[in-house]
Amino acid sequence: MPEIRQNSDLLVLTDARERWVVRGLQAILAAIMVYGLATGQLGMASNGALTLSVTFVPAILQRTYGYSMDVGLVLWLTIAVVLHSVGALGPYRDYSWYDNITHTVSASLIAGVGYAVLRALEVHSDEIDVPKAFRGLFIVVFVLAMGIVWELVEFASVVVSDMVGARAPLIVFGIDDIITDLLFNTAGAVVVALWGTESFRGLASFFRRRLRRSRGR
Amino acid sequence: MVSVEVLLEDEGANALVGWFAIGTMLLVAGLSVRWTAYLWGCFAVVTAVTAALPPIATRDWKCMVPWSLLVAAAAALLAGAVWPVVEMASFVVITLLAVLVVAEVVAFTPVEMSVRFAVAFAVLTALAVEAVWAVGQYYSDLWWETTFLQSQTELQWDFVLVTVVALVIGSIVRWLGYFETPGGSSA
Repeated sequence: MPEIRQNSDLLVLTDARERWVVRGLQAILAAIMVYGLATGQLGMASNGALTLSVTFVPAILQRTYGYSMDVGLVLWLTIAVVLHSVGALGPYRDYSWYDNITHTVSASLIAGVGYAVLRALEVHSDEIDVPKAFRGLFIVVFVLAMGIVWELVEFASVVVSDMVGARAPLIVFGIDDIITDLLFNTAGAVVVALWGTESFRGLASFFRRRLRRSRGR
Repeated sequence: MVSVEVLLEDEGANALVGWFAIGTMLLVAGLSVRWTAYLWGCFAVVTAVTAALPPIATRDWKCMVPWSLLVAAAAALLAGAVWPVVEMASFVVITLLAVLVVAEVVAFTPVEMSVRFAVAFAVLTALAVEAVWAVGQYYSDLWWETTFLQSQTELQWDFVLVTVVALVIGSIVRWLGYFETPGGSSA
């Protein structure tokens, strides 16, 4: 488990606490995977495995590029995949509102990943040089594109599990579902684009100062 | 990093052809509306506006990307308007629109990128445009009683096809050396 050194713009958790929360969430995902394997439910097992591996992306980014992802972003990413994973166990079917929660969360998940990839490329590679004013365009494109890639992954997972005879780890619920995903994605993209071009920075530091004052720090 | 540029021999001649292409796009838009193919009409207008953005923004009528891209886009728009059953036309226009956006960003903004990144980014932009297009199709079905999205599987195959077409056209664009570095090489 890597050291996440960089402090968050938006969170006031310490690094150590954040690490514990993330570890706890990863443990949940690992438990889902193990339970799935133990009970022969391949769909559940691959669900757990897939989502668990996503949580290691920040670590890989750091190892490869030396890029420490924003701590708040790491936490958000982990929460998002846990909600997805847990949802596949039942809540998706049992509660119709659960879908709305995960739509919003997964949209910002994809947006966050898109933002992280862009920042990593910008900071640690020679391929691109983007002035801050234009960052928004790149983030929106990245996020929308990744939304389509996600749809491709879902499509492929259904096709593959059909062939293998297992229950699909990711279930698509029709055209409405896909379009809703894309729309939420776009909204998430715009939000992250504004965040990325630091339109929120003033707001974030304002809240941070208030929180510090109220805690008497 | 050696940054990509879009190089032109004769700006005036290039611009003339470019404006002609834009005119064709607007013609397609008009025809589409006439034939109640409203979504395609919107598509044609968006492409025309994107192509005309640099000259309008800089007030220099010669300020245009190389003509081949604009002519290809106009041709694909025309084909899609005349033969609407051919879905390939929309994938081609989507990709060409994406390449156009990247070309304009590279040529007319302070953004710098390598040839490799420009092509990769064009592919990603094509996927992004497809996302917008899919949403457009959905609401067109809802409001204008078109039948673009018949089934979920069909929509998912659309995504696959757009990706394939974008990769193919991206490779062609790179091979043609549409994006070049000032040394003249296409890295």
